[in-house]
Amino acid sequence: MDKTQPKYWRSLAEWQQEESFRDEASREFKEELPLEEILGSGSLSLSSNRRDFLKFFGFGMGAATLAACTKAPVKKAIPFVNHPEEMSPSLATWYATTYYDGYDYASVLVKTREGRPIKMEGNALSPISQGGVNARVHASVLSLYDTTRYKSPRSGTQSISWSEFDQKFSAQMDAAAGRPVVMLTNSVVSPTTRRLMTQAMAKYPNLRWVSYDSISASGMLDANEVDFGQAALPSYRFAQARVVLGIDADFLGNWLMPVAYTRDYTQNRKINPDKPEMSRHIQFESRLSVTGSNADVRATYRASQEALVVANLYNAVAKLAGQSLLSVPALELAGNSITQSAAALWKAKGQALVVCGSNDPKVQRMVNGINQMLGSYGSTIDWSSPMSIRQGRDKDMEQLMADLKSGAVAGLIVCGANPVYDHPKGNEWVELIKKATVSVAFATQPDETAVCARLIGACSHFLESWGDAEPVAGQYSLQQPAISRLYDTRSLNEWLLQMCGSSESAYDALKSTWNGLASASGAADAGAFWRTALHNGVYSVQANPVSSVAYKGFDASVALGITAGKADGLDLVLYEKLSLGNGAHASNPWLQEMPDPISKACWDNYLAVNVKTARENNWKDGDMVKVKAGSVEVEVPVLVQPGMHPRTVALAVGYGRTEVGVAGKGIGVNAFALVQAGSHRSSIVSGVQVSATGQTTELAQTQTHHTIEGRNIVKETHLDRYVADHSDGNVRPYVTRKKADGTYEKVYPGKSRNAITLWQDRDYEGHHWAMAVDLNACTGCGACVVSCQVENNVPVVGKQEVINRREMHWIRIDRYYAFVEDGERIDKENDYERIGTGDQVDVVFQPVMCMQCDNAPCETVCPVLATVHSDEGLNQMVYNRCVGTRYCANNCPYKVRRFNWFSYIDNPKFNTNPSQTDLGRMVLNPDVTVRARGVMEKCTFCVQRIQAGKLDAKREGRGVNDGEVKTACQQSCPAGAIVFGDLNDPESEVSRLFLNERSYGVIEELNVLPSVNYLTKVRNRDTAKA
Amino acid sequence: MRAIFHFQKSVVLWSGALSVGLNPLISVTALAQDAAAAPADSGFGLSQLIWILIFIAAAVAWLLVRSSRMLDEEYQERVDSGKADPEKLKDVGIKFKPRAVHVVGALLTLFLIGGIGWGIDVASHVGIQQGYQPAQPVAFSHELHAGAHQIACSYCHTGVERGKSATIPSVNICMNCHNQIKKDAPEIKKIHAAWEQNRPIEWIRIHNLPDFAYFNHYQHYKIAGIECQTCHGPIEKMPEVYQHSQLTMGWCINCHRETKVDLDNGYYQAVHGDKPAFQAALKEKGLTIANLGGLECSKCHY
Repeated sequence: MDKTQPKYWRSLAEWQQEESFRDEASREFKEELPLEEILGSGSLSLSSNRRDFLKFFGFGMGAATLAACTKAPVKKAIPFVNHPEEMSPSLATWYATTYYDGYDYASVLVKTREGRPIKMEGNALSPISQGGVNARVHASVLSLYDTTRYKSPRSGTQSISWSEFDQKFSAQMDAAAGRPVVMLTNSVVSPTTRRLMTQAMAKYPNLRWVSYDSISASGMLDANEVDFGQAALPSYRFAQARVVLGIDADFLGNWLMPVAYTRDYTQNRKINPDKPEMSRHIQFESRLSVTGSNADVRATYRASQEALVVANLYNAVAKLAGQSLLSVPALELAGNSITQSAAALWKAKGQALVVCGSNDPKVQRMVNGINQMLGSYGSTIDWSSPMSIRQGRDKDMEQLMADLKSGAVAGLIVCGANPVYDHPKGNEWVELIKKATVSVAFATQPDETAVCARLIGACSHFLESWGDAEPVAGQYSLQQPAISRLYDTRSLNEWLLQMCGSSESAYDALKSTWNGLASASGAADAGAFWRTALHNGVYSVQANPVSSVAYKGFDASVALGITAGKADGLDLVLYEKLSLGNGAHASNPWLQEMPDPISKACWDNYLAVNVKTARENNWKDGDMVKVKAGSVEVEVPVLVQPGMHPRTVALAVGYGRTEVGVAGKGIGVNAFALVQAGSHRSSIVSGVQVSATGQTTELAQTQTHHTIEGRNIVKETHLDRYVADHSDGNVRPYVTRKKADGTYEKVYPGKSRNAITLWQDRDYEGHHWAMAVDLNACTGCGACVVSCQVENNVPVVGKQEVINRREMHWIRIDRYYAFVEDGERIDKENDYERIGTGDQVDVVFQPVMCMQCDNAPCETVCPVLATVHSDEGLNQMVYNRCVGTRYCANNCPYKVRRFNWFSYIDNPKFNTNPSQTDLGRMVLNPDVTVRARGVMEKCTFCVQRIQAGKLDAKREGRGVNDGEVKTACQQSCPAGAIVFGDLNDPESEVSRLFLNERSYGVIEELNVLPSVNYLTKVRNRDTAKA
Repeated sequence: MRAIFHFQKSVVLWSGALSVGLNPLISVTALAQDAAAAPADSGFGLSQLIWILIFIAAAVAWLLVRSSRMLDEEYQERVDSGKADPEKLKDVGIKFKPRAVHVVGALLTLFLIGGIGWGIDVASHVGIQQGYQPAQPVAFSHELHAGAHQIACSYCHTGVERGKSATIPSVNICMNCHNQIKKDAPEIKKIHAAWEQNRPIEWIRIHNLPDFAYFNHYQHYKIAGIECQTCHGPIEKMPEVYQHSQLTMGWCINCHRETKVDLDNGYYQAVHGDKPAFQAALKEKGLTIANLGGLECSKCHY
């Protein structure tokens, strides 16, 4: 084996070579078959006697006989009375619309079948999201069919009509008698809603408006207000940046507009012989984030020292820029990272970018100062189109609470915000809302805040309503309904119009906004302008002249009072997961079951702890601990996480919802309660006490479910070595064969005549479908996992079945770790002496789907020919033939086959599965079979899409164009890491990538000829020792 | 001698089993083969052969029973006349004497085996609704519309022009003509009522494919150019529609084996055109759907 090849491992247990790990790895199944449990649940029991047997036998015979007597059921075919023109049974209709929930923004295309939305895809025309969509947006289609949604307005717990609602609302507003009433919303980005809000405030002069974000950017807004005179967020241009430094900013995960940033960022990460260069990404953070795990250089700091780290970075850059330094204690991170990063940034001046996730305005002002010195404004940071997706100011919330308590504000109308759950003083909000004179909530489904309100307006789902958005100045997008409303609900715009006493419809109100845009654009035909915008979903104008916003100068006083802090104790950092985010979608089982990209845990939140810290305290995975911060105390399991700073622990927010649908009930604890309240809410808590309770629980982690047996699965190299040799790191296996003339030759696995193989050669005369995955582009975000789940009707199995290693995802993202010390890899297992503080770790993500092997080992062992090869290179899975021997899964070297253990569609044990309700079943893709219990299933390369693509080609009498057929994972990938196509077409992108020097097949020495190839990961580091 | 009688017993049983039990199965197979491959008037088929075998087996059984009787009588005679020593002949003695219990047992076994055979025969037809002709809520006649008036199928079944589903016409399509024509006929009044009350007509679905089988009308009708009648039978002669074809997988596959692909479609030229095997096959006798992978599972099941 080549020495340059890194040794990676999948979990700490593997690195430590624990007994339990070796034991698990040696067994195919986690546990013995739970026959007793399954059979014992009913009257059927394993201990039944002969009489029982005869009874069951007799009943079975009788039932079978009776069942055979019945006629086939009469099915009806009920056509429309008046067939709508744009909809036809069995044909998909796509609508361009907008997803915005106060947290994520995306311009999307919604696929509807028979009038019901079933799938979301990114809108490639959007200059912001550029066709990318994250896991939450993919999963959001299910929230439309959530059975817990409000079906009508309510007064307390009683259903009422809208006219009663309007009366009661007027009565409450009258009772306020002119005293201020506050409308509390998330950051509203809709121009129409903003206009209607202004109208409503004109109608009710005592109506005020406060914006509140569950994840606050208040610190940035305040800093920018001082530095630029703009309480807004600029647009970040990652595509322009040669060197990116992130400081606790998870910009590939959840920071501001991660989908847009992922697109831009990965443009500079994709490398090919024509362009042998890539950006350098440096990340300073205290926990291991998705963004940090993609960084070339990563250093950790203690969470409470964030300001000190930024101040020292400021000084390091200022030294190079020849500017005055701040007087702060000196700090350097591992590997002289601060000095070296400053040098790298300075070298890339004008093409450098520093972003920071802190909510402290002083820290953000220092970051602004650094970016100013680096000349980022006007190049990588763009003030010509500021973002408005975060508008909430934390001090406004504090003021509002004080006013509600004092009675200065008489009432509260909450729309799209959930402060009872996600504000640190949530408990106080309960009473404030209950006791207010005006106590109204406007929500799509019950949440902690809405249930406190006396009057509840049922809000329409975004797929049921008209609307618009301007998340970035000048970048408009339209929201159009993809289905008529399911219940007696109103959209916010409709309610505001009603409030203003207007008879205008929400559609007309929207159109008048857009007619204004049309006339501003100088469009001659407003109708054509509208139709184009509606079709495209987006419309862009240049908002401000470039660099119209000037920097007002640095103020050294921001660094006053920055100290090194206490040396002992633990800091807690609160973060959002890529799956649940701020917790608004906790009732979505797809998101709950999506493994966290880093920890691979699902269905829970947990305290991530450094390896050595855990060892010192004797904490193990699953040990329950009490985390005490001030007066707040929560009890969570420990997860030992490589890459954590030794004095920092991390806990995800978004869990512990109480008023939520069935999937979110009792999942995790609410970490928002630990957020430090104040005029700038802080997700960093210093000096927390963590103590073991002696209890243990089991975490549902998917990563260790298969073992790699020490094989070389991921390959990587460094940029300098790649430039010298494009195939560096891509060591391909071969066998040596003696030739007739006595010399030796190397024989590589493959389809050549020369290959040594036991397999019969196949000719792929027509298509030969294949996929290439760029490990350099994949950020591990997991959008593909959810997208695949939606597209292919993959069931949700729940926490216990994930623990039992029975998750059903057809695509998984494997995450590999390698400890690093001083730039060198630690090769030896369990080498605690050499891992230093245990926070330096290299991470690789590798999406794994069915490899559709040309020499598929699964096919040869199936006794009933339920899995066979197609002449297009697909490894077909025939559910109806499968008898469930599971030999194929056993023989699959990639472990991508999934056995359907239970009847997920009707077994009450799996009631989180959306297909268990009439409404939830609406989301199923009618082109894909819903698999029954007892059959094997796996990735099909989205064969339904391949067939549809071929049919389109036949209709037009042409070949299939490259890129025309996209698999669900490929389509959803914001990084563009997955390329699918026809290998028989020499011009196709996938053919080119297969010939790339970085291309390799996983364990290709088996000569199974996988149809999925990966491209070696390239790291951009100065010192390439490892 | 005992061996003879054991043989005799089994012959009786098995010949019976063959005649009663397997016969329906074999005849079903034979029928299916007749329909599929073998010409119906091939004269000497499998079933005739079976019948002859059964006749021979029965004759042998009868002969054996007869000779058993004779041997038995001979033995008794010898013993009675003292010519033979019963002690000496004990070991070769004939023990088996058909009694009522044997006859009943044999009959019961035959009945059981026959029943199982019949059960399999019935089971193999479960779910096949060939000939299904339910009464429809409106007595619509294809014979009149498609036959006498020569209205194109796709005028009403619009989906066939672009989608997987051919679609049952919506009421507004009926109303295209019937808001003028035969307004007062009792059946047409039902359509008017549906239109006026905005209430869809609930037709009984005749052709039911299982959900796990993908079938696309558009693909067959427009791209392959298959006539509607190929699967739906003489629809223009049906006053009341019934299911003409079996709609089983065997029936689908058979057509895919025999039907030639329209290779003029640019798709085939673009995808296969440059392949030598394709060109060779093309020259000979064209390609069937099966030749191009049309029998593969994932073409219809996914």
